[in-house]
Formats: sequence, C-alpha cells, structure tokens
Amino acid sequence: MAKAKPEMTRILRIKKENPYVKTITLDMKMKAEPGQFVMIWLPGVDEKPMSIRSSNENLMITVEARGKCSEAFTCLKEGNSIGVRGPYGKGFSHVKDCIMVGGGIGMPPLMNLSESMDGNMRMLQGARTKNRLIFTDRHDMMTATDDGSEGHRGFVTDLLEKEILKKKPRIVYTCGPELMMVKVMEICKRHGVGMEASLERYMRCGIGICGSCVCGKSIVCLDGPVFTMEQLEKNPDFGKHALSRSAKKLTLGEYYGGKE
Amino acid sequence: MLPTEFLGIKLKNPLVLASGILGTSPEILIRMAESGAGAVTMKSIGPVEREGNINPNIVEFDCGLLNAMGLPGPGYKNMAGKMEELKNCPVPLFASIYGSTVQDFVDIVKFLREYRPAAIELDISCPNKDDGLSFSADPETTRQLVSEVRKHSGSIPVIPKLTPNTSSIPLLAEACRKGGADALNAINTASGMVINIEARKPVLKYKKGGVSGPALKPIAVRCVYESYEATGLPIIGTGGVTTGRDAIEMIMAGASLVGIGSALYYRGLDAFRLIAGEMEEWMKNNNIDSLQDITGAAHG
Repeated sequence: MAKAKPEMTRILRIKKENPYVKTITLDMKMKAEPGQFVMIWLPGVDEKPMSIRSSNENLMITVEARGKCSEAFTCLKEGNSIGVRGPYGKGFSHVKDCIMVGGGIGMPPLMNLSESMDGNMRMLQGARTKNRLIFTDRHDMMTATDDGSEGHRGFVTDLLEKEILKKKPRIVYTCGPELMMVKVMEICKRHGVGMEASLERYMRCGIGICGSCVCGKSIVCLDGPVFTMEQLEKNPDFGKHALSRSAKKLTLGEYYGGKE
Repeated sequence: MLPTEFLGIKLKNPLVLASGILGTSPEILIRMAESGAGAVTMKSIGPVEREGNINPNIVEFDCGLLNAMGLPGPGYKNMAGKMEELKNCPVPLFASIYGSTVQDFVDIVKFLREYRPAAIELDISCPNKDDGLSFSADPETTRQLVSEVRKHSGSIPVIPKLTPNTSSIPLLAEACRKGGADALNAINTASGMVINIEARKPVLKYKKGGVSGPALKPIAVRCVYESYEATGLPIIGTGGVTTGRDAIEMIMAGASLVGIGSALYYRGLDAFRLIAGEMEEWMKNNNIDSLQDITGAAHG
C-alpha cells in the first residue's frame, strides 16, 4: 500500500473544463487503477480525497469549486506545489462493452476508465445545464441537461434506459450524485445488467482506520470507493445515509445540504 | 489456548480493538468483532457533538502513524440509537468516554449504564484537544476523577487509559488504583509532530498529534511493565502491537489483554486473525498452554 505521507509536487498545467471545473496536471507519475483516489493536501488549508482523472502519463485530477477547500484548489496557479498521497481504494473492473454514466464531478474517473480500455463503450453525462458539462470535446459523449440547453432534456438515466434497450451492455459504470446512482442501479437491475458505482463520503485518513467514511458495513476508502451492485444491494445506507464530520448518521439530504 | 477472562468478562482471545480505530458505527464494530477481535472498543463518546480537526488528520512516518482526529463524535445525547444497535455486538463491548470536567464523565457514565457495556474506558489522555482539563497530567486530579466515575458506574468496571505524556507512569497508575479503577489501559498515543520539509509545515492541520504504530511499542511495553509493578491491576496493553510476538511481549510485560489499533493499517482488516494465529503458533512452539502462564513473565 502507498505510504500515508504526502509528497509535495508541482502543478505543471491547469486546464479550464468549464467555468467551475479545472483539470490539474502534476509533476508526478503514479501507478493507479481507474476509480482509485488520491488525498490532495493544500498546506495550511485542508486535505481532500479526489478521484484520479488520469495516471497514464502524469497524474491528473479534476476539481470543481464547491466548498472553501476546492475553491482554494481552483485558485492554484501553474508552478504552485501541493501534497499528494495515494493511490487508495479499489477501482473499477475492466469489462469491455459497457455504458458509463456520469453526473457532474463524477465524470473524471469514468473518463480515466474509458481511456484505459479499448473496444465498445458508450459514455453518458448528465448536468444541470450546458455550461456545467465537462469533457465535451469527446465526440462520442451523449449528454443530458435538466434545462435542455444541451443534448437530451431531462435525466441522464433516461438516456441510459434507451441505450440499454438499443443494445444491452455487459456492465454499467457510474459515478455522480448518489440518487442518480440509485436510479442507475434500479434500471440495471430491471434489465439484468451488472453495475459498479463509485461512492463519495466524508473522509479523513483514506487508509481504512479512522471510520469517518463508513457506509453500512463498508469502509468506503478501503473497500471502495467503487462497489458492485451486489455489494450496494446489501448496503442499507447506500442512497440513504452518510456520516457527518461528527460521525452522526444523516440522511443524504441533510448530508449534502449541510456542507459543501 | 487464547480464551481469556478479564474482570469476569469472557473473551475468545485477548485482542481488543483499540478506541478510535474504526469504532464510529455499530455496523463496523460488529464487522471487527466478526473479523476476530476478542472485544471491541467504541470511539470515545464525549459530552457534546464535536466535528474534530480539519484534515490532514493523519500522516505516516518511517515507523508509525501520527494522528490528530480531534475526538469527532456525535455526543452522548445522540448515541442512544447506536447503543441500541450495539446490543447485537457478538463480543464484549467496551465504551470509551471523554470529557472536559468530572461532571461530563459522570453524565456520560449515567447515560451508558442502561446499555451495560462490558467496561467503561476513561479517555483521560487524548493528546489532540486543548480545551478542558488534561486529567492525566496530574495524579491527584486523576484519582479524584476515577473515584467520582466509579461511584456512578455501578457494577460496570472502569478502566482509565494512561498517557505516556506524563512524568511518572507508576504515580499515575497508582492514583488510578487508589481512585478505584478496576483495570488500566496503557497507553494512549505519545505526543509528536511530523514536518514536511518541502512544504515547511507540520503535516497535520492540528500541527501536533499522537504517535502510534511500531514507534510506540517500546514505550508502551515500558508503561505496561511499570503499571503492573506499581499496582498489580489487570492491564490492557496498547501501543504498536502488529504481530503475535508483539502481543506476547506485551503480555509478558504484564498485560492481560492487548489493544490493536494501527495494526489494522499495517496488516489489514484481517489483523486480529493473523495476530491470534501467530500467538497460538508461538505458544505451541514454546509449550505454553495458557496466557495466564506468561502474564507478567518478564518481571522478577
């Protein structure tokens, strides 16, 4: 396992994906699986888990300005240094003939996965509105927006159901808002398709000992963040509960309403 | 070979999940129980809800971990549901509690009584919070606290957890005994700091933290040894145990039970089974039938 010790590394390039999201390329190589995450340290500010956008060449992460910390991340400049430790957790399987369903900042690990496989795959992305979409330079990306400003008007899960009916894939990979992933799981179940989803929970240690990110019996940073449908079906907290920073069990509404 | 009795509590083995490690939810405590722990300790319960420190909360160094979680927890008034679920815990459950005043401790003990944990551990030694009294810094304050808590715990044994951040372990251990402690846990983490020289900053947001893992082990073995000599009380030996040999060493120093914490990082969630297996193997090879035969064997 990777040492739980941040290594300071320089930011080589910053690319703006949309008005809220940036992709940061670091002066660091890392052997990692798509779906795994790193802990990114901003000295004096905070440390946060972030999914890996790419580790094919240099390590890349994609950040959205949401809370105080991620806003500080998006203010970083090329040449600045940040701390990195990882990779941690379990990533996605690699089954060709798949559909990927991403929502918002859930897209980067799916892009990473798609670039690590060749063969038959379909990419679906959902967002509130056109300028929230990312990676749209990818030609095969099918999109859905709540307001219809780009692609299908409505949920990305509508697209998923259509695509499954067109041709059943062997597996569906998803990452994004948890209620979207619950819907993805329902659809997959109904059509008898396998599925893997990447979960988000408040994390501290990232190495499976502090218990901050527990979801049901699962330790998200160690057993996940990617879980199979079989695991999620047995998890009573998936789609329902998350622990607060004070380890109080909250509903997902409370969890996402009360913090960044 | 490994079944043990401690304060009248029967355990299938002497390995106890240490407080603060994964003990945040009933589900995960039960999972640890199922993965081979002889007993499990909850994350410390405090008087009020507390978010803990901002990240980084943990950093590894060459031979250990440094952490400063800052005692995050929902506070005892929000714990009723969790305590109810923990009635299904398949192994003895130890509750750990902390407070800023004697009254805090007493209030939490009163709350816990109806749930009948197998024992109540007193976290008087967490190095990672500044507010409130540092009870274990002074033996007389410690004695008064233990004595007050013991008055309210009824038949539930009370186990103060000692800190190595003190000038004299024997005086501290003896103060606990005088206060009516049923057993001792030695030790909590040792105060330390790790600086990243490229960032020119302590890694932890809280700056200092508690050292655990292999670096803590010789300190813990010494504290267990001294506590055993000073009091003769049963001891949970905690600090840097990652192998069966480490556990045997702790027992020879005078521990009846052995706390397991950072080992879950070094050896994975299967640490309990691995360590128990190594203990049995060593005992077989050395013709030891029972742990009682070697408890405190290093003394005299």
